[in-house]
Amino acid sequence: MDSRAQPQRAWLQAPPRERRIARISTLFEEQAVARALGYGPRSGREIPHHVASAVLDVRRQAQTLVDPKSCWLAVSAEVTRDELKLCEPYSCTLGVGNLVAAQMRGCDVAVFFVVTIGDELERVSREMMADGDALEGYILDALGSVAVEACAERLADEVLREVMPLGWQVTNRFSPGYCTWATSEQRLLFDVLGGSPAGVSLTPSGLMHPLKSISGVIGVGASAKFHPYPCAFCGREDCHQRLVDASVTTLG
Amino acid sequence: MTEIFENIQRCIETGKADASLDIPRGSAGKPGVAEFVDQALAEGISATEILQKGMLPGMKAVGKRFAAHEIFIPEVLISARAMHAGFAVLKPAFAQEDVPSQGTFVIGTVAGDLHDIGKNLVAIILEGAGWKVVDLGTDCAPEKFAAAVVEHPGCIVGLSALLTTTMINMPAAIAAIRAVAPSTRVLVGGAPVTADYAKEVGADGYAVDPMGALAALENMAA
Ligand code: B1M
Repeated sequence: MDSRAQPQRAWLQAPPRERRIARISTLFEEQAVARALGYGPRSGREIPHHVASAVLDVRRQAQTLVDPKSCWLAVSAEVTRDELKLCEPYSCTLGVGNLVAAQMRGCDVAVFFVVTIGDELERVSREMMADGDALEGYILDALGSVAVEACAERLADEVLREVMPLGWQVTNRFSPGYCTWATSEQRLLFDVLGGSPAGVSLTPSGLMHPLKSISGVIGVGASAKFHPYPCAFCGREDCHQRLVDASVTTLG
Repeated sequence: MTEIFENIQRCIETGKADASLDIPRGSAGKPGVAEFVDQALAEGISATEILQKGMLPGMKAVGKRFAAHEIFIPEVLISARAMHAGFAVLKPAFAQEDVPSQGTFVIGTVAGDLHDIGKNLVAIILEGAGWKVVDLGTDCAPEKFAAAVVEHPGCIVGLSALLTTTMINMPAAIAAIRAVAPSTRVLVGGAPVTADYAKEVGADGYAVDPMGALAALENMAA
Protein backbone atom coordinates (compact mmCIF):
# COMPACT_ATOMS: atom_id res chain seq x y z
CA MET A 1 0.00 0.00 0.00
CA ASP A 2 1.20 3.50 -0.85
CA SER A 3 2.58 5.02 2.34
CA ARG A 4 0.89 8.28 1.39
CA ALA A 5 -2.64 6.81 1.26
CA GLN A 6 -3.21 7.20 4.97
CA PRO A 7 -2.08 10.85 5.25
CA GLN A 8 -4.04 11.63 2.07
CA ARG A 9 -7.21 10.16 3.59
CA ALA A 10 -6.67 12.09 6.82
CA TRP A 11 -6.11 15.30 4.87
CA LEU A 12 -9.35 14.76 2.94
CA GLN A 13 -11.31 14.42 6.16
CA ALA A 14 -10.29 17.83 7.49
CA PRO A 15 -13.13 20.33 7.89
CA PRO A 16 -13.22 23.56 5.81
CA ARG A 17 -10.14 25.74 6.44
CA GLU A 18 -11.11 29.32 7.22
CA ARG A 19 -8.19 31.76 7.34
CA ARG A 20 -7.51 35.46 7.65
CA ILE A 21 -4.99 36.43 4.95
CA ALA A 22 -1.92 38.29 6.22
CA ARG A 23 0.64 40.66 4.62
CA ILE A 24 -2.03 42.97 3.26
CA SER A 25 0.40 45.50 1.77
CA THR A 26 1.59 42.88 -0.74
CA LEU A 27 -1.88 42.33 -2.20
CA PHE A 28 -1.70 45.34 -4.54
CA GLU A 29 0.90 44.40 -7.13
CA GLU A 30 1.77 47.40 -9.31
CA GLN A 31 1.48 45.75 -12.74
CA ALA A 32 -1.82 44.15 -11.81
CA VAL A 33 -3.20 47.52 -10.70
CA ALA A 34 -2.14 49.13 -13.98
CA ARG A 35 -3.84 46.29 -15.89
CA ALA A 36 -7.03 46.63 -13.84
CA LEU A 37 -7.17 50.32 -14.75
CA GLY A 38 -6.83 49.50 -18.45
CA TYR A 39 -3.09 50.14 -18.87
CA GLY A 40 -0.37 47.54 -19.15
CA PRO A 41 0.95 45.29 -21.93
CA ARG A 42 -2.35 44.84 -23.77
CA SER A 43 -2.96 48.59 -23.98
CA GLY A 44 0.57 49.45 -25.04
CA ARG A 45 0.40 52.44 -22.68
CA GLU A 46 2.15 53.27 -19.44
CA ILE A 47 0.02 54.52 -16.58
CA PRO A 48 0.23 58.35 -16.81
CA HIS A 49 1.97 60.26 -14.04
CA HIS A 50 -1.10 61.99 -12.58
CA VAL A 51 -3.06 58.73 -12.51
CA ALA A 52 -0.12 56.93 -10.92
CA SER A 53 0.12 59.47 -8.13
CA ALA A 54 -3.62 59.14 -7.44
CA VAL A 55 -3.13 55.35 -7.31
CA LEU A 56 -0.39 55.72 -4.68
CA ASP A 57 -2.65 57.86 -2.48
CA VAL A 58 -5.65 55.58 -2.80
CA ARG A 59 -3.53 52.46 -2.26
CA ARG A 60 -2.47 53.68 1.17
CA GLN A 61 -6.11 54.00 2.08
CA ALA A 62 -7.07 50.68 0.47
CA GLN A 63 -4.70 48.81 2.77
CA THR A 64 -6.75 49.93 5.75
CA LEU A 65 -10.03 48.92 4.13
CA VAL A 66 -9.50 45.24 3.36
CA ASP A 67 -10.18 42.31 5.64
CA PRO A 68 -9.06 39.39 3.46
CA LYS A 69 -10.33 35.94 4.30
CA SER A 70 -10.38 32.57 2.63
CA CYS A 71 -12.16 29.29 3.06
CA TRP A 72 -11.48 26.00 1.27
CA LEU A 73 -12.50 22.40 1.43
CA ALA A 74 -11.05 19.30 -0.27
CA VAL A 75 -13.48 16.70 -1.61
CA SER A 76 -12.85 13.38 -3.40
CA ALA A 77 -14.13 13.69 -6.94
CA GLU A 78 -14.29 12.00 -10.30
CA VAL A 79 -13.81 13.98 -13.49
CA THR A 80 -15.86 13.06 -16.57
CA ARG A 81 -15.90 14.70 -20.02
CA ASP A 82 -17.61 17.85 -18.78
CA GLU A 83 -18.59 17.20 -15.18
CA LEU A 84 -17.15 16.90 -11.73
CA LYS A 85 -18.81 14.13 -9.71
CA LEU A 86 -18.30 14.54 -5.98
CA CYS A 87 -18.05 11.46 -3.77
CA GLU A 88 -19.74 10.84 -0.42
CA PRO A 89 -20.93 12.64 1.61
CA TYR A 90 -21.61 15.33 -1.04
CA SER A 91 -22.79 13.12 -3.88
CA CYS A 92 -23.57 15.91 -6.32
CA THR A 93 -22.43 16.71 -9.84
CA LEU A 94 -21.09 20.05 -11.03
CA GLY A 95 -21.40 20.82 -14.74
CA VAL A 96 -18.00 22.49 -14.99
CA GLY A 97 -17.98 22.27 -18.78
CA ASN A 98 -15.56 20.50 -21.10
CA LEU A 99 -12.76 23.07 -20.82
CA VAL A 100 -12.44 22.93 -17.04
CA ALA A 101 -13.02 19.17 -17.02
CA ALA A 102 -10.22 18.69 -19.57
CA GLN A 103 -7.82 20.61 -17.35
CA MET A 104 -8.84 18.58 -14.31
CA ARG A 105 -8.45 15.20 -15.99
CA GLY A 106 -6.43 12.85 -13.81
CA CYS A 107 -7.43 14.63 -10.57
CA ASP A 108 -8.87 12.65 -7.65
CA VAL A 109 -9.67 15.62 -5.47
CA ALA A 110 -11.39 18.97 -5.98
CA VAL A 111 -10.57 21.85 -3.66
CA PHE A 112 -13.50 24.29 -3.53
CA PHE A 113 -12.75 27.78 -2.31
CA VAL A 114 -14.01 31.25 -1.63
CA VAL A 115 -11.88 34.33 -0.96
CA THR A 116 -12.99 37.85 -0.12
CA ILE A 117 -11.61 41.19 1.02
CA GLY A 118 -14.81 42.14 2.88
CA ASP A 119 -17.23 44.94 2.06
CA GLU A 120 -15.61 48.01 3.62
CA LEU A 121 -13.58 48.91 0.53
CA GLU A 122 -16.62 48.77 -1.75
CA ARG A 123 -18.59 50.92 0.72
CA VAL A 124 -15.88 53.60 0.73
CA SER A 125 -15.52 53.43 -3.07
CA ARG A 126 -19.25 53.99 -3.41
CA GLU A 127 -19.05 56.94 -0.99
CA MET A 128 -16.20 58.49 -2.95
CA MET A 129 -18.22 58.20 -6.15
CA ALA A 130 -21.25 59.80 -4.52
CA ASP A 131 -19.09 62.64 -3.15
CA GLY A 132 -17.78 63.52 -6.61
CA ASP A 133 -14.39 61.77 -6.24
CA ALA A 134 -15.05 59.45 -9.16
CA LEU A 135 -11.40 58.92 -10.06
CA GLU A 136 -10.48 57.90 -6.52
CA GLY A 137 -13.60 55.73 -6.20
CA TYR A 138 -12.79 53.95 -9.44
CA ILE A 139 -9.16 53.41 -8.49
CA LEU A 140 -10.20 52.06 -5.09
CA ASP A 141 -12.60 49.64 -6.77
CA ALA A 142 -9.86 48.43 -9.12
CA LEU A 143 -7.46 48.02 -6.17
CA GLY A 144 -10.10 45.85 -4.50
CA SER A 145 -10.31 43.63 -7.58
CA VAL A 146 -6.52 43.26 -7.64
CA ALA A 147 -6.40 42.48 -3.91
CA VAL A 148 -9.02 39.74 -4.09
CA GLU A 149 -7.26 38.15 -7.08
CA ALA A 150 -4.05 38.16 -5.03
CA CYS A 151 -5.94 36.47 -2.19
CA ALA A 152 -7.02 33.71 -4.58
CA GLU A 153 -3.38 33.27 -5.62
CA ARG A 154 -2.35 33.03 -1.96
CA LEU A 155 -4.97 30.38 -1.40
CA ALA A 156 -3.76 28.40 -4.42
CA ASP A 157 -0.21 28.57 -3.04
CA GLU A 158 -1.43 27.36 0.33
CA VAL A 159 -3.19 24.37 -1.25
CA LEU A 160 -0.07 23.49 -3.24
CA ARG A 161 2.09 23.65 -0.09
CA GLU A 162 -0.27 21.25 1.68
CA VAL A 163 -0.68 18.70 -1.09
CA MET A 164 2.92 18.42 -2.31
CA PRO A 165 4.12 16.42 0.71
CA LEU A 166 1.19 14.06 0.06
CA GLY A 167 2.51 13.30 -3.41
CA TRP A 168 -0.07 15.42 -5.23
CA GLN A 169 0.08 18.31 -7.67
CA VAL A 170 -2.47 21.05 -8.45
CA THR A 171 -4.18 22.47 -11.54
CA ASN A 172 -4.87 26.15 -12.15
CA ARG A 173 -7.84 27.60 -10.33
CA PHE A 174 -11.12 27.84 -12.20
CA SER A 175 -14.21 29.89 -11.38
CA PRO A 176 -17.88 29.52 -12.34
CA GLY A 177 -18.51 32.10 -15.04
CA TYR A 178 -15.23 31.36 -16.85
CA CYS A 179 -14.23 28.77 -19.45
CA THR A 180 -17.84 27.70 -20.28
CA TRP A 181 -18.58 26.90 -16.60
CA ALA A 182 -21.96 28.60 -15.97
CA THR A 183 -22.05 31.30 -13.29
CA SER A 184 -25.28 29.78 -11.95
CA GLU A 185 -23.30 26.64 -10.94
CA GLN A 186 -21.85 28.72 -8.14
CA ARG A 187 -24.82 27.71 -6.01
CA LEU A 188 -23.61 24.08 -5.88
CA LEU A 189 -20.17 25.23 -4.88
CA PHE A 190 -21.67 27.20 -2.00
CA ASP A 191 -23.77 24.18 -1.02
CA VAL A 192 -20.58 22.14 -0.71
CA LEU A 193 -18.76 24.81 1.30
CA GLY A 194 -21.85 25.31 3.46
CA GLY A 195 -23.36 28.42 5.07
CA SER A 196 -21.41 31.57 4.34
CA PRO A 197 -17.77 30.54 3.88
CA ALA A 198 -15.30 33.29 4.89
CA GLY A 199 -18.38 35.44 5.58
CA VAL A 200 -19.40 35.38 1.89
CA SER A 201 -23.04 34.79 1.04
CA LEU A 202 -24.75 34.11 -2.26
CA THR A 203 -27.82 36.19 -3.12
CA PRO A 204 -30.83 34.53 -4.77
CA SER A 205 -29.64 36.00 -8.09
CA GLY A 206 -26.28 34.28 -7.77
CA LEU A 207 -24.23 37.31 -6.75
CA MET A 208 -21.66 36.98 -3.99
CA HIS A 209 -21.74 39.45 -1.14
CA PRO A 210 -19.27 41.14 -0.51
CA LEU A 211 -18.83 41.93 -4.21
CA LYS A 212 -15.06 41.61 -4.05
CA SER A 213 -15.14 37.83 -3.67
CA ILE A 214 -14.03 34.92 -5.85
CA SER A 215 -15.27 31.34 -5.79
CA GLY A 216 -13.75 28.43 -7.60
CA VAL A 217 -12.11 25.04 -7.72
CA ILE A 218 -8.56 23.69 -7.91
CA GLY A 219 -7.92 20.14 -9.11
CA VAL A 220 -5.58 17.96 -7.04
CA GLY A 221 -4.02 14.63 -7.97
CA ALA A 222 -0.79 12.80 -8.67
CA SER A 223 -0.97 13.74 -12.36
CA ALA A 224 -2.64 17.15 -11.98
CA LYS A 225 -1.04 19.72 -14.27
CA PHE A 226 -0.64 23.44 -13.84
CA HIS A 227 -0.72 25.14 -17.24
CA PRO A 228 1.17 28.41 -17.47
CA TYR A 229 -1.07 29.32 -20.41
CA PRO A 230 -4.46 27.62 -19.94
CA CYS A 231 -6.21 30.26 -22.08
CA ALA A 232 -4.83 28.50 -25.14
CA PHE A 233 -7.61 25.92 -24.61
CA CYS A 234 -10.39 28.51 -24.70
CA GLY A 235 -11.60 30.47 -27.71
CA ARG A 236 -12.98 33.49 -25.82
CA GLU A 237 -10.77 36.20 -27.26
CA ASP A 238 -12.80 38.91 -25.50
CA CYS A 239 -12.32 37.47 -21.99
CA HIS A 240 -10.81 40.15 -19.77
CA GLN A 241 -8.81 37.59 -17.84
CA ARG A 242 -7.28 36.19 -21.01
CA LEU A 243 -3.60 35.88 -20.30
CA VAL A 244 -1.35 38.15 -22.26
CA ASP A 245 1.56 35.72 -22.29
CA ALA A 246 2.74 32.59 -20.61
CA SER A 247 4.48 34.53 -17.84
CA VAL A 248 1.14 35.59 -16.37
CA THR A 249 -0.38 32.72 -14.47
CA THR A 250 -3.67 33.86 -12.91
CA LEU A 251 -7.03 32.63 -14.06
CA GLY A 252 -9.91 34.16 -12.08
CA MET B 1 -13.21 84.48 -29.57
CA THR B 2 -12.27 81.06 -30.95
CA GLU B 3 -9.12 81.11 -28.81
CA ILE B 4 -11.09 80.95 -25.58
CA PHE B 5 -13.10 77.99 -26.88
CA GLU B 6 -9.89 76.26 -27.89
CA ASN B 7 -8.48 76.85 -24.43
CA ILE B 8 -11.58 75.41 -22.78
CA GLN B 9 -11.53 72.42 -25.11
CA ARG B 10 -7.83 71.77 -24.48
CA CYS B 11 -8.31 71.97 -20.69
CA ILE B 12 -11.23 69.51 -20.85
CA GLU B 13 -9.06 67.14 -22.87
CA THR B 14 -6.13 67.31 -20.46
CA GLY B 15 -8.37 67.36 -17.38
CA LYS B 16 -7.14 70.74 -16.19
CA ALA B 17 -10.22 71.60 -14.09
CA ASP B 18 -8.83 74.75 -12.48
CA ALA B 19 -5.65 76.70 -11.78
CA SER B 20 -4.82 74.78 -8.60
CA LEU B 21 -4.39 71.47 -10.45
CA ASP B 22 -0.97 70.39 -11.64
CA ILE B 23 -2.38 68.47 -14.64
CA PRO B 24 -0.56 68.35 -16.98
CA ARG B 25 2.61 68.47 -14.90
CA GLY B 26 3.99 71.97 -14.46
CA SER B 27 0.65 73.69 -15.09
CA ALA B 28 -0.18 74.62 -11.48
CA GLY B 29 -1.18 78.29 -11.26
CA LYS B 30 -2.14 78.44 -14.92
CA PRO B 31 -5.83 78.85 -15.80
CA GLY B 32 -8.01 75.77 -16.23
CA VAL B 33 -11.60 75.18 -17.35
CA ALA B 34 -13.10 77.10 -14.40
CA GLU B 35 -10.99 80.21 -15.08
CA PHE B 36 -11.48 80.13 -18.87
CA VAL B 37 -15.24 79.67 -18.53
CA ASP B 38 -15.31 82.55 -16.05
CA GLN B 39 -13.33 84.69 -18.49
CA ALA B 40 -15.67 83.77 -21.34
CA LEU B 41 -18.72 84.79 -19.30
CA ALA B 42 -17.00 88.06 -18.39
CA GLU B 43 -16.43 88.67 -22.12
CA GLY B 44 -20.19 88.40 -22.60
CA ILE B 45 -20.27 85.00 -24.28
CA SER B 46 -23.48 83.10 -23.51
CA ALA B 47 -23.44 79.95 -21.39
CA THR B 48 -24.98 78.02 -24.30
CA GLU B 49 -22.15 79.05 -26.62
CA ILE B 50 -19.48 78.20 -24.04
CA LEU B 51 -21.05 74.79 -23.62
CA GLN B 52 -21.59 74.10 -27.32
CA LYS B 53 -18.33 75.51 -28.68
CA GLY B 54 -15.88 74.87 -25.84
CA MET B 55 -16.88 72.21 -23.35
CA LEU B 56 -18.83 69.69 -25.43
CA PRO B 57 -16.27 69.57 -28.27
CA GLY B 58 -13.68 68.96 -25.52
CA MET B 59 -15.61 65.95 -24.22
CA LYS B 60 -16.16 64.72 -27.80
CA ALA B 61 -12.43 64.78 -28.40
CA VAL B 62 -11.98 62.80 -25.17
CA GLY B 63 -14.47 60.26 -26.50
CA LYS B 64 -12.55 59.90 -29.74
CA ARG B 65 -9.25 59.33 -27.93
CA PHE B 66 -10.90 56.79 -25.64
CA ALA B 67 -12.39 54.92 -28.62
CA ALA B 68 -8.91 54.87 -30.22
CA HIS B 69 -7.48 53.39 -26.96
CA GLU B 70 -5.20 56.40 -26.55
CA ILE B 71 -6.62 57.10 -23.11
CA PHE B 72 -8.47 54.98 -20.52
CA ILE B 73 -11.25 55.37 -17.96
CA PRO B 74 -9.10 57.20 -15.34
CA GLU B 75 -8.27 59.93 -17.85
CA VAL B 76 -11.90 60.14 -18.99
CA LEU B 77 -12.88 60.65 -15.34
CA ILE B 78 -10.30 63.40 -14.99
CA SER B 79 -11.83 65.11 -18.04
CA ALA B 80 -15.33 64.58 -16.63
CA ARG B 81 -14.16 66.32 -13.46
CA ALA B 82 -12.98 69.25 -15.59
CA MET B 83 -16.42 69.34 -17.26
CA HIS B 84 -18.03 69.48 -13.81
CA ALA B 85 -15.75 72.39 -12.87
CA GLY B 86 -16.98 74.22 -15.98
CA PHE B 87 -20.62 73.44 -15.20
CA ALA B 88 -20.20 74.79 -11.67
CA VAL B 89 -19.12 78.17 -13.05
CA LEU B 90 -21.87 78.13 -15.68
CA LYS B 91 -24.65 77.23 -13.25
CA PRO B 92 -25.80 80.79 -12.39
CA ALA B 93 -25.80 81.73 -16.09
CA PHE B 94 -27.78 78.55 -16.92
CA ALA B 95 -30.46 79.73 -14.50
CA GLN B 96 -30.91 82.93 -16.56
CA GLU B 97 -30.58 81.46 -20.06
CA ASP B 98 -32.85 78.84 -21.48
CA VAL B 99 -30.07 76.35 -22.16
CA PRO B 100 -31.27 73.34 -24.16
CA SER B 101 -30.43 70.20 -22.14
CA GLN B 102 -28.98 67.17 -23.89
CA GLY B 103 -31.91 65.19 -22.48
CA THR B 104 -32.74 63.07 -19.47
CA PHE B 105 -31.16 59.68 -18.92
CA VAL B 106 -32.53 57.39 -16.22
CA ILE B 107 -30.08 54.67 -15.22
CA GLY B 108 -30.15 51.77 -12.78
CA THR B 109 -28.72 48.33 -12.14
CA VAL B 110 -31.33 45.62 -12.71
CA ALA B 111 -33.10 43.60 -10.02
CA GLY B 112 -30.90 41.20 -8.10
CA ASP B 113 -27.71 43.07 -8.98
CA LEU B 114 -25.88 45.05 -6.31
CA HIS B 115 -22.95 46.04 -8.48
CA ASP B 116 -22.83 49.76 -9.22
CA ILE B 117 -19.35 50.92 -10.20
CA GLY B 118 -19.96 50.53 -13.94
CA LYS B 119 -23.33 52.24 -13.76
CA ASN B 120 -21.81 55.08 -11.72
CA LEU B 121 -19.10 55.63 -14.30
CA VAL B 122 -21.68 55.82 -17.07
CA ALA B 123 -23.75 58.29 -14.99
CA ILE B 124 -20.77 60.52 -14.12
CA ILE B 125 -19.48 60.69 -17.68
CA LEU B 126 -22.90 61.37 -19.22
CA GLU B 127 -23.55 64.06 -16.63
CA GLY B 128 -20.18 65.52 -17.53
CA ALA B 129 -21.34 65.62 -21.15
CA GLY B 130 -24.40 67.66 -20.26
CA TRP B 131 -27.09 65.01 -19.81
CA LYS B 132 -29.49 65.25 -16.89
CA VAL B 133 -28.93 61.91 -15.18
CA VAL B 134 -31.39 60.30 -12.79
CA ASP B 135 -29.62 57.48 -10.96
CA LEU B 136 -32.04 54.92 -9.55
CA GLY B 137 -29.28 52.94 -7.79
CA THR B 138 -28.81 49.17 -7.68
CA ASP B 139 -31.19 46.20 -7.46
CA CYS B 140 -33.97 48.12 -9.25
CA ALA B 141 -37.24 46.28 -9.61
CA PRO B 142 -39.01 46.70 -12.99
CA GLU B 143 -41.64 48.90 -11.30
CA LYS B 144 -38.92 51.34 -10.24
CA PHE B 145 -37.89 51.88 -13.86
CA ALA B 146 -41.54 52.21 -14.89
CA ALA B 147 -42.21 54.84 -12.20
CA ALA B 148 -39.13 56.82 -13.29
CA VAL B 149 -40.28 56.82 -16.92
CA VAL B 150 -43.63 58.24 -15.85
CA GLU B 151 -41.88 60.88 -13.75
CA HIS B 152 -39.47 61.88 -16.55
CA PRO B 153 -41.44 61.81 -19.80
CA GLY B 154 -39.30 61.43 -22.92
CA CYS B 155 -36.30 60.14 -21.01
CA ILE B 156 -33.97 57.44 -22.30
CA VAL B 157 -33.45 54.53 -19.88
CA GLY B 158 -30.18 52.71 -19.22
CA LEU B 159 -30.02 49.22 -17.69
CA SER B 160 -26.80 47.82 -16.26
CA ALA B 161 -25.88 44.28 -15.07
CA LEU B 162 -22.73 42.51 -13.86
CA LEU B 163 -23.41 38.81 -14.40
CA THR B 164 -25.44 36.62 -16.74
CA THR B 165 -27.46 35.52 -13.69
CA THR B 166 -28.69 39.12 -13.18
CA MET B 167 -28.67 40.24 -16.83
CA ILE B 168 -31.68 37.95 -17.37
CA ASN B 169 -33.75 40.47 -15.40
CA MET B 170 -33.41 43.02 -18.21
CA PRO B 171 -36.43 41.81 -20.27
CA ALA B 172 -38.79 42.27 -17.30
CA ALA B 173 -37.49 45.81 -16.77
CA ILE B 174 -37.94 46.62 -20.47
CA ALA B 175 -41.47 45.17 -20.45
CA ALA B 176 -42.43 47.28 -17.41
CA ILE B 177 -41.01 50.43 -19.03
CA ARG B 178 -42.78 49.82 -22.35
CA ALA B 179 -46.06 49.03 -20.55
CA VAL B 180 -46.23 52.61 -19.24
CA ALA B 181 -44.47 54.42 -22.10
CA PRO B 182 -44.20 52.24 -25.24
CA SER B 183 -41.91 54.57 -27.19
CA THR B 184 -39.26 54.80 -24.47
CA ARG B 185 -35.80 54.03 -25.80
CA VAL B 186 -33.68 51.67 -23.73
CA LEU B 187 -29.92 51.29 -23.68
CA VAL B 188 -28.31 48.24 -22.06
CA GLY B 189 -24.76 47.59 -20.91
CA GLY B 190 -22.51 45.85 -18.40
CA ALA B 191 -19.79 43.20 -18.66
CA PRO B 192 -21.88 40.15 -19.69
CA VAL B 193 -24.19 42.08 -22.07
CA THR B 194 -23.59 41.90 -25.82
CA ALA B 195 -25.08 43.61 -28.87
CA ASP B 196 -26.81 40.32 -29.75
CA TYR B 197 -28.35 40.08 -26.30
CA ALA B 198 -29.52 43.71 -26.53
CA LYS B 199 -31.30 42.86 -29.78
CA GLU B 200 -32.75 39.68 -28.32
CA VAL B 201 -34.37 41.54 -25.40
CA GLY B 202 -35.67 44.36 -27.59
CA ALA B 203 -33.39 47.12 -26.34
CA ASP B 204 -32.76 50.06 -28.67
CA GLY B 205 -29.06 50.18 -28.06
CA TYR B 206 -26.05 48.56 -26.43
CA ALA B 207 -22.88 50.23 -25.25
CA VAL B 208 -19.67 48.58 -24.16
CA ASP B 209 -18.50 51.54 -22.05
CA PRO B 210 -19.52 55.07 -20.96
CA MET B 211 -18.22 56.79 -24.09
CA GLY B 212 -20.11 54.26 -26.18
CA ALA B 213 -23.19 55.08 -24.10
CA LEU B 214 -22.69 58.76 -24.87
CA ALA B 215 -22.44 58.09 -28.59
CA ALA B 216 -25.52 55.83 -28.46
CA LEU B 217 -27.55 58.47 -26.63
CA GLU B 218 -26.53 61.12 -29.14
CA ASN B 219 -27.73 58.84 -31.95
CA MET B 220 -31.00 58.11 -30.18
CA ALA B 221 -31.63 61.77 -29.43
CA ALA B 222 -30.79 62.91 -32.98
C1 B1M C 1 -26.92 51.55 -19.85
O1 B1M C 1 -25.76 51.54 -20.60
C2 B1M C 1 -24.65 51.03 -20.06
C3 B1M C 1 -23.51 51.12 -20.88
C4 B1M C 1 -22.29 50.64 -20.44
C5 B1M C 1 -22.23 50.07 -19.19
C6 B1M C 1 -23.37 49.95 -18.36
C7 B1M C 1 -24.60 50.43 -18.80
N1 B1M C 1 -23.01 49.36 -17.21
C8 B1M C 1 -21.71 49.12 -17.30
N2 B1M C 1 -21.22 49.52 -18.47
C9 B1M C 1 -19.87 49.53 -19.00
O2 B1M C 1 -19.24 50.74 -18.58
C10 B1M C 1 -18.46 50.50 -17.40
C11 B1M C 1 -17.19 51.28 -17.45
O3 B1M C 1 -16.39 50.91 -18.55
C12 B1M C 1 -18.23 49.02 -17.37
O4 B1M C 1 -18.78 48.58 -16.14
P1 B1M C 1 -18.18 47.34 -15.36
O5 B1M C 1 -18.82 47.25 -14.08
O6 B1M C 1 -18.26 46.19 -16.27
O7 B1M C 1 -16.65 47.81 -15.24
C13 B1M C 1 -16.02 48.17 -14.04
C14 B1M C 1 -15.94 49.65 -13.92
C15 B1M C 1 -14.62 47.60 -14.15
N3 B1M C 1 -14.74 46.21 -14.45
C16 B1M C 1 -14.91 45.30 -13.53
O8 B1M C 1 -14.85 45.55 -12.34
C17 B1M C 1 -15.12 43.92 -14.04
C18 B1M C 1 -13.88 43.41 -14.75
C19 B1M C 1 -13.80 41.89 -14.78
C20 B1M C 1 -12.46 41.38 -15.23
C21 B1M C 1 -14.11 41.25 -13.44
C22 B1M C 1 -13.55 41.57 -12.20
C23 B1M C 1 -12.51 42.67 -12.05
C24 B1M C 1 -13.92 40.91 -11.04
N4 B1M C 1 -14.69 39.80 -10.95
CO1 B1M C 1 -15.73 39.10 -12.40
N5 B1M C 1 -15.02 40.29 -13.60
C25 B1M C 1 -15.55 40.28 -14.85
C26 B1M C 1 -15.00 41.36 -15.67
C27 B1M C 1 -14.65 41.12 -17.11
C28 B1M C 1 -14.84 42.37 -17.95
N6 B1M C 1 -14.21 42.44 -19.04
O9 B1M C 1 -15.58 43.28 -17.64
C29 B1M C 1 -16.77 39.47 -15.07
C30 B1M C 1 -17.92 40.46 -14.96
N7 B1M C 1 -16.77 38.58 -13.92
C31 B1M C 1 -17.30 37.43 -14.16
C32 B1M C 1 -17.46 36.42 -13.20
C33 B1M C 1 -17.98 35.12 -13.68
C34 B1M C 1 -17.16 36.61 -11.85
N8 B1M C 1 -16.50 37.70 -11.34
C35 B1M C 1 -16.36 37.60 -10.02
C36 B1M C 1 -15.46 38.29 -9.24
C37 B1M C 1 -14.68 39.29 -9.70
C38 B1M C 1 -13.62 40.01 -8.85
C39 B1M C 1 -14.04 40.14 -7.41
C40 B1M C 1 -12.33 39.30 -8.94
C41 B1M C 1 -13.46 41.33 -9.66
C42 B1M C 1 -14.29 42.49 -9.14
C43 B1M C 1 -15.75 42.34 -9.36
C44 B1M C 1 -16.50 43.62 -9.17
N9 B1M C 1 -17.31 43.93 -10.10
O10 B1M C 1 -16.32 44.34 -8.24
C45 B1M C 1 -17.28 36.58 -9.48
C46 B1M C 1 -18.60 37.21 -9.07
C47 B1M C 1 -18.44 38.26 -8.02
C48 B1M C 1 -19.67 38.44 -7.20
N10 B1M C 1 -19.63 39.35 -6.28
O11 B1M C 1 -20.63 37.73 -7.35
C49 B1M C 1 -17.44 35.65 -10.70
C50 B1M C 1 -18.80 34.99 -10.72
C51 B1M C 1 -16.30 34.60 -10.70
C52 B1M C 1 -16.34 33.74 -9.49
N11 B1M C 1 -17.02 32.63 -9.59
O12 B1M C 1 -15.75 34.07 -8.49
C53 B1M C 1 -17.72 37.30 -15.61
C54 B1M C 1 -19.23 37.37 -15.78
C55 B1M C 1 -19.65 36.43 -16.83
C56 B1M C 1 -21.03 35.95 -16.65
N12 B1M C 1 -21.35 35.17 -17.62
O13 B1M C 1 -21.77 36.20 -15.76
C57 B1M C 1 -16.91 38.45 -16.27
C58 B1M C 1 -17.56 39.05 -17.51
C59 B1M C 1 -15.51 37.88 -16.59
C60 B1M C 1 -15.47 36.89 -17.76
N13 B1M C 1 -15.79 35.65 -17.56
O14 B1M C 1 -15.11 37.26 -18.83
C61 B1M C 1 -18.92 48.46 -18.61
O15 B1M C 1 -19.51 47.20 -18.40
